[in-house]
This record gives sequence, C-alpha cells and structure tokens, in this order.
Amino acid sequence: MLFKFSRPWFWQFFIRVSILFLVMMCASPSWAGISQQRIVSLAPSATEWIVALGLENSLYGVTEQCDFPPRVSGKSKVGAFMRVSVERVLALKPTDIVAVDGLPAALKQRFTESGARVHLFHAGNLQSFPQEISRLGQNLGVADRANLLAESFRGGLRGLAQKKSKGALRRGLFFVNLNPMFVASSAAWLSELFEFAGVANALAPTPHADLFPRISFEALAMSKADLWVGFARDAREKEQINSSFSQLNLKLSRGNKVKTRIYPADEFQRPGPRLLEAMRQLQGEEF
Amino acid sequence: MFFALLALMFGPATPLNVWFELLSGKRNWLDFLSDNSSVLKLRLVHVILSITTGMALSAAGRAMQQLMQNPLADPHVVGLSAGSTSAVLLTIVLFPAYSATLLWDVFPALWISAALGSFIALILVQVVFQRVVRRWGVASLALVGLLLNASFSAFLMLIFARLSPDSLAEVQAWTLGSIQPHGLFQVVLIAPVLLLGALAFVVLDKELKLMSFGVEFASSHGVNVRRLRQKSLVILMLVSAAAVCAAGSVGFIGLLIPHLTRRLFFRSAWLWARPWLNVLLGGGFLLIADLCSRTLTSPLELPVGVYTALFSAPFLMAVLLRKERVA
Repeated sequence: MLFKFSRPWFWQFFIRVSILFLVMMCASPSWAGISQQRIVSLAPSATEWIVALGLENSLYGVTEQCDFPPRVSGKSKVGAFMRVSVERVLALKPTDIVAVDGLPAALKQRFTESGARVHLFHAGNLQSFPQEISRLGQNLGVADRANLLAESFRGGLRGLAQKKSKGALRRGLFFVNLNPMFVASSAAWLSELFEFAGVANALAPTPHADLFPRISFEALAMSKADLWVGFARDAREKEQINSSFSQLNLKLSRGNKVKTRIYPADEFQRPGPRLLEAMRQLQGEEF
Repeated sequence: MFFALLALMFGPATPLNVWFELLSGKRNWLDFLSDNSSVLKLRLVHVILSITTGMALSAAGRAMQQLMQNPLADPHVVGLSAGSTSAVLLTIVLFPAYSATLLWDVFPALWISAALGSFIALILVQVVFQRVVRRWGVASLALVGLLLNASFSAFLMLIFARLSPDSLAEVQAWTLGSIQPHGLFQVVLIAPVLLLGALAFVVLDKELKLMSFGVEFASSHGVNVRRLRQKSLVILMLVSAAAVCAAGSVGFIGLLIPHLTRRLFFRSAWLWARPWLNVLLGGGFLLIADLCSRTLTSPLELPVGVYTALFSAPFLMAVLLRKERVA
C-alpha cells in the first residue's frame, strides 16, 4: 500500500486541521447561521447611545475613539471617526450601522447597498435630541427603552429651563479649542445647553454651516463675554486651559477679569447620553 | 499579478474573512457580483481602480512630458487634478443634494463636475502656456503649473471656509486622494475610460516620442502636430477627470513613473523606451500604495495620496541631486 493511515503524524495533522476548520466555521457568522442583530457604531456618541439603549451585546464594531464605557474598547475597531475602513465594517457583516452627521454620502450608499440599515443621529439641535433618541431606538428595535431615555432627557432640559428663569443671563464663549481658538456658534447644541442654564452665547451669529468657527483675538475682544467656558479631558489639560485663560485675560487687560469655568470634555462635547450628567452638573452651578 | 493577489488577500479585515467568502458556497460569479457585503468584492474594486488609475496617470504623465518637451509635466503638476478637485468640492458645497445623487442609479453626478473642472484647467494651462512658452521657453511649464495650483489651492481654501462639518470627511477623501468606495457598476463605467486612455497613449507614443525632440523635428518626420496635440489633450482631459473620479487628487504618479522606468531599466534603452512598461509600473505602484494605505495603519485608512507622495518625493529629490552632481 502506497500510504498507511496508521502513521501517527498523519492523524496528528488531520486532528489539527479539523480543529482549525471547526474554529473557522464557528467564527464565521455566515457559516454558523447566526441571524442576530449586529450593530456597528461609527462615532463615539453613537456607541454611547447604543450602550445606553441596552444593545451592548449586539455591538460588534466601534471606532478608535470610542472609549466610553471603557469595556467597549475591547470590541473590533473599524477605523477612526470620519475615517472608517469600509472593509472592516463589511467584514463584521453588520445588520445595523449607527453614525452621526458627517458620514459621507458615498459611504452611506455603499453600506446601504451591502444590506445594512444605516441610522444617522442628527445632533444639530438639543431640543430635537429626544425625538432622535426615540427614532434611533425604534429603528434598532428597543422603542420602549428609547422612549424612557428620551423622557429623562426632556426632564433634564426642563430642569435647566427652570433654573434659567431664576437668574440673570450671562454672556459666555464656549471654547472647544484654545490654540487656535475655536468656539461653539449659537447654532451648536453645546451653546444651546448653556443657554438653557442661563448663559447666552456672546459670539455674533455665524453662517449656520459653521457650528464651531475659528475666532481671532480681535473677535474675542469684541465679543464682550463675561464668562469663558473651556473643556478638558484630564487634569493636565485643565491646567493648560487655566493658564491660557489667564494669559488671555492679561492680554485683554480689562478692569474686571472674565470669569472662567472648565468642564469635563467628553460629557459636554459628545452629543451622547452623558449630556444628562452634564445637565445635572449645570443645574447645580451658579454663574 | 503577485501584488494584485497580495492586495486581494490582505487588507484591514483578517485574511480569514476572504477564505470564508471563498469557501462559503458562492458557487458562481453572479452570486459573487450581486453580493454587496463581500469583502473580496470590495478588494477587487480597489485593485481594479488602483491599477487602472495608476496606469492611466503614468501614461498621461509620460505623454505630457513628451508633448510639452518638459520632464516636469504631469496632470497633477500642471493643475489638471487640482481643477477637477476644485470643481468637485465646489459642487459638494454649493449643491450638496446634487452631489449625493446618482444619474440613472449608477453614475455619480459629481463625475460631470470632475470632467468640467479638468476641461477648464486644461484650457487655462493651454492658453497660458502657449503665450508664456514663446518668451520663457518650455521650462516655464512648471511655473505655469505652480501658479495654477496656487490659484486652485486658494480657491479650495475659500471653499473650505464655507464647508459644513458634515462634508469634511468627504472633502478630505477628494483632496488628499483616496480610492473612492465605488460599487462594481461604477467601476465598470470608469475603469474602461482609464484603461482606454492609457492604451491610447501607448498607441500614440511613437508620434509623441518624435514630439519630444521638438515640433519641427516631429513635423519633418510626417507627424501632424496640430492633430496630435488635439487628440492628446482630449485624452488627457478624460483621463485626469476619470482618475479624479476614481481616486480623488492623487499626485506624483505621472511625474515619478516615467523617471523611475528610465532609472530602473537604464541598462536597456529598448526596455525603458517601451510605453507599456511605464504603464505597467504605474499600475503596480498605485496598487502597492493602496495596499499600504489599507494595511499599514489599519484599521485607520490613510489617503493613498499620502503614500504616493511619501514614496515619490525622496526618489525625485535623489534624481535631482544626482543630476546636480553629474552637472
């Protein structure tokens, strides 16, 4: 006989190949016949909404910037926010893709063609957030939970509005970056959030398209703001922003120094469910 | 072929994904072509677009260098790509709804803007160059290109100022050069234009080579210079518009590849004079650059233009320094 099956190396090889083959079969959703919901998030705030809606177990892909809650960082990465790897997304065989405004039309079309449902969360206006939450939840099949979340969001806004009526309106500038200076325009939801808390945007209205315009030192001096708000990710950044604010105050050389406040960046700048915590924090503030 | 296979097997997704697809029971080609969630199909689109775009751009670069008797000519250097990109971005900013539409469900409306932009830039180059060349000679082409590129860049800055954050990612993909996420239908439309453009330049190469010795020399050898110029310019316009549609504004290929061919095969004049070798090298170069852009920083995909510039600039610098030493 040309080949003997009794040879041990043959059986060792056969068993190893079989195990590898079985692992590959189980790892592939199309082979294992899994037809469950598979969600891919293309933005950090979208990831936070998905987790808040209780769909963490169905979340299969996130971006490099998705870091909250910390346990999602273990999920498959599909690229960066605004720079997504189409191949990585398609390899995860998603049934639903959740993104925010800014997803290029060509990419949206490409994902839709692949058979996935693409849901965009429009974070333009703070008052429209509850409807957006409900719509997203309805599309992802968790309408009840989404309605509860939307209701708590409305409650948070109402709480802020009550506080606003008590005090006088301050004029503030909301810096998303200090060097160069980028601030939130009155059309941005970040500005709206502070307006609910009693701080009006001191920046003159800009074209609607520009939500976070760059401003010059001259524009800063002209704004006549009596409150500057910065956002920091950690203690080091907070220190840097504080020092930048002090330098700006010195340069402006006004009699009264402009008041400054620094808030946690991710809670305030991401249009996600942690905005509820931001609202609670603002309710306890005196400007 | 080797690099094409490599590009099909490797990418941001694991090679296992491709094996699963190959083994997952898609027995005929029709099943494969109709499956839009296929990773292998996506890679196939990338491979086809990068090879054809590289081929067309390298052929266009060589043709421009011969036609304008200037070793610095290239659709990117003279501003054709910048013209196309500016027109595309202007459309995205002014008509966002139009920019997202498909004509007859397959043809992105932005392609018309790209072709128009390329046409306008070509006319500008032609008009300015013809007037300047009499006074300053053929070396002035680089200056004309520099001025046109500077004008288009300034124009792009104006567009950026009016840009909504929603369009930022899309605009970056066009300006820095990225293989666009087209479907197979779009590839079927655009790849033949690029391939035929490259082929046309290969066919015209004999006459274009005579042109590189001067207009009088070409005329004395029976070349109809006027007609050759017209033909070449129309093909150039189509090729640069199609290349922008396929991969945005990818630079350096038309400039680098003809020089690289000469350097690589300097021992055999017969080899480096072959236009098809230049075309094949161009296709291979963009394929490798695209493979790098998809894998080296995975899952982050950097624009392919970053890698073409990264590979090309040091090589061209070395060529310049070597010429300096020889001089």
